[in-house]
Amino acid sequence: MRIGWAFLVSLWLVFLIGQTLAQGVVWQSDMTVWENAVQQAPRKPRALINYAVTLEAAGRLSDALSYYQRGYREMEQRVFTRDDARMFARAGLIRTLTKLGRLDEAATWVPALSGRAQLPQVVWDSYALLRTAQGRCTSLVSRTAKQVWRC
Amino acid sequence: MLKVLTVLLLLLVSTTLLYSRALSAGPVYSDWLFVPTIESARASGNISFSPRGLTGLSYWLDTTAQEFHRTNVLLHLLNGSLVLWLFLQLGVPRAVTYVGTLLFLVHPLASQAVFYISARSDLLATTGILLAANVFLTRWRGRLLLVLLICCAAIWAKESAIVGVGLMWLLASLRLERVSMPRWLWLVIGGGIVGCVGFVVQHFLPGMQSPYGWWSYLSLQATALWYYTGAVILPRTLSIDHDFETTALWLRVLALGSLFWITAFLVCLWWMREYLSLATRCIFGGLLFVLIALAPRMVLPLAELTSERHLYLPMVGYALVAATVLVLPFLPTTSEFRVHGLSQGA
Repeated sequence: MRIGWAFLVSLWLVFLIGQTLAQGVVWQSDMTVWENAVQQAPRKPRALINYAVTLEAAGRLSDALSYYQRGYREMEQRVFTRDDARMFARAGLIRTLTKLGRLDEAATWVPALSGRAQLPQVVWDSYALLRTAQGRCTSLVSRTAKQVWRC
Repeated sequence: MLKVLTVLLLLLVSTTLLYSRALSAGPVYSDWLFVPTIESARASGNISFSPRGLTGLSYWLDTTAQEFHRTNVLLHLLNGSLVLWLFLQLGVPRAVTYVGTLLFLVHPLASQAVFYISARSDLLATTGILLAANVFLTRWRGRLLLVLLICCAAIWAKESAIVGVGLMWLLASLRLERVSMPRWLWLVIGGGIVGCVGFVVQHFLPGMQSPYGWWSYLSLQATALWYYTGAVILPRTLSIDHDFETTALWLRVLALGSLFWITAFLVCLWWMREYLSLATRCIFGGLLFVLIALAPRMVLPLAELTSERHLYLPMVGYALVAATVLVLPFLPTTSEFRVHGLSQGA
């Protein structure tokens, strides 16, 4: 009885140590952390959007777009979604679509932003990127809300 | 004493090897937000005294990602040593103490706080609380003032360290000691501080308000607590982000209801603590430790639900419970640890 228990306890401890070692692999970079998060919670908007941001930074734009879209879709279905999180996702969509050269599609995400005075900087950045790609802004340096709307 | 130190040294060396991978990791997620801030602050010489000023100051020790991670690992080792000291002071049997410390040090549920640089506040707050608890259990004169100072420092590292007040009360009760201040007064003070912090958070700190309604918040927190309790036994699905919001309503009701009854049961058991065996006292003391450590997160509707890094302090309680259960079968049935009546005292 005791030998059996000792064996089970040892197995459990080995399992715990293995899992901690595995966590060491997961926590190496943003990519590994959010890839793991998406695997564990495939419908969680924050995990999907942050994974998309990481993919975008790595230059995998098509994959990033797919995760932005999935994340935004999930956000729309949730009762509790922070407004700034929604704006952040929209900004990502505008940015990625612009980088992919799909400017008309990117522009469809803009109307919901108009008329809002208080928007995170990241939203203005993405909007400025789109306007520049459309040939309306001459420089990305003009980032303040007024400058972006004027250009 | 030499044996204890040898075991501790072995545990610390093993843990260092286990976490050696952290030294090659880069910043992750919100680490990117504050690392450049610290760099610019260091360049300009401005020290920011934010509500988590002690955590901010600790970041000044490090420059590279490797150093940030190294400090986190060192704090984890320090916390492991403090857990060992705490268990010894509480009169927990040696076998349980060693296994409990081992569990605290190597359990993957505590790993997020170590690997994630931004979770430094959880590590520091735990260091403060464990140090305060250990000082509290000594027989030094004027220790209450020292405990108060350490608790304040812990709160300066992270505001959730206010649970330290409740935990001191629990420790005093478990050791059946008389403290100069009535126990109920500790509870009143603790409750008052929690209430004040809740008021400040809700009214003055932008972005901290919960997007959930009160009922949703409470039931989701209960669900999260049960999930993490399960993860102590089978930590297979650890992640930076969990999806508790999709939990069915009936499961959330069940989680909240069962949590309420277990809390009620533990409180009843507390009144009978003098008649309990040491093993039972370890188990219910550990569970109460978890509940008290998580109480502010349960009660205050904060912006986020509990995540793994917040489980760092409660892990002390979980480790005590798990170690007691693991060691119990190896002790003879007549052991004082298993059958420990009032006659033996505390």
